[in-house]
Amino acid sequence: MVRVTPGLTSRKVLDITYQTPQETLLGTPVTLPISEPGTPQVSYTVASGDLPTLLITPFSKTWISYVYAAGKFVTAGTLSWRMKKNGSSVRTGTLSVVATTYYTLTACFFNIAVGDVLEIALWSNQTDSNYDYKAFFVVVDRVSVWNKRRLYTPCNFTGVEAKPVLTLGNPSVQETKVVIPYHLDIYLYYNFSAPTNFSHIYAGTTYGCFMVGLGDYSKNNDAYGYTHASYRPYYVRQSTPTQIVIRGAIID
Amino acid sequence: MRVTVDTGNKQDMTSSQIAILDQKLRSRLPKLLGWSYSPLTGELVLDFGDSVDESQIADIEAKAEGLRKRVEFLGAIKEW
Repeated sequence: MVRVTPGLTSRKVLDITYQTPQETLLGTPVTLPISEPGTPQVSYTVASGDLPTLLITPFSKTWISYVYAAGKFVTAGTLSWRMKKNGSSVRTGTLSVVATTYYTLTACFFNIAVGDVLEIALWSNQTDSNYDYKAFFVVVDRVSVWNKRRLYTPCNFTGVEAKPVLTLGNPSVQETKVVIPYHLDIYLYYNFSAPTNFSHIYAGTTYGCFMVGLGDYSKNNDAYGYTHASYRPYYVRQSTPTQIVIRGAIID
Repeated sequence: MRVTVDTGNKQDMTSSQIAILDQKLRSRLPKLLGWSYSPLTGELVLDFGDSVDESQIADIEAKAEGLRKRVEFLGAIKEW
């Protein structure tokens, strides 16, 4: 019988620093058109400075952006919207909004890259609806530190913070989505939103060691739409890993 | 509650087609708050907020003329 001694890598500390969200609150709200506008009201071009910075460079990762759009309905009606990535439609939808109520879209664009143009077009079936708020933020997802499946032992999520924190308008958080650890690319029916340590996670080649709830597990290239009588934006955000402490074991 | 159905149809919609679909869905599903459709996957997500419970999913699936894929209820997701 041959006994195999696993090789261990050095202990690695992956610090992840997120950028401050880009936020705009218009001084004068823009009236929504009653049919789809030729030029979407909300448009962001992804720049390298928008991406989180990682202290060590993982073998693979995915970027997800959250684009927020908000405004108000004076008369009850239906908000229609379209998400576009580089000019192509990725999702369309509608949302019922009651009278004198704010709406907020949390649009999640999956697997973005520097140079991508992310847009949201808004229109209403009423003539007195408006738009006056937008924001943009990027998170990291599906991190795989090494170039093949490897046992992470430990895999300690020593920093976890809810992001983004939006400040303009009269913001309130509707929901904060969780972090979902993945083991051999399998969902373990477990999640967390605060620092959590795992004695081992076997990171797979597809999902790495975790998946974010917002924009990947749910609402992948899709949007949440919420309304509120006084909050704008009334938004969905994500518990994001800010530090992961890992040691890799080579056992195959 | 959100119900995702697979329409089997991957086709982008114009704003007038969106308006027609919206009218059809809301006439069949009066408790519908909002919906979204992906031309990339053919998925139609129907959002009922808290006004619908799981006992009505089969009826929703039939009225939306799609095959149920997943249901999101109080943050938990069931997939088929």
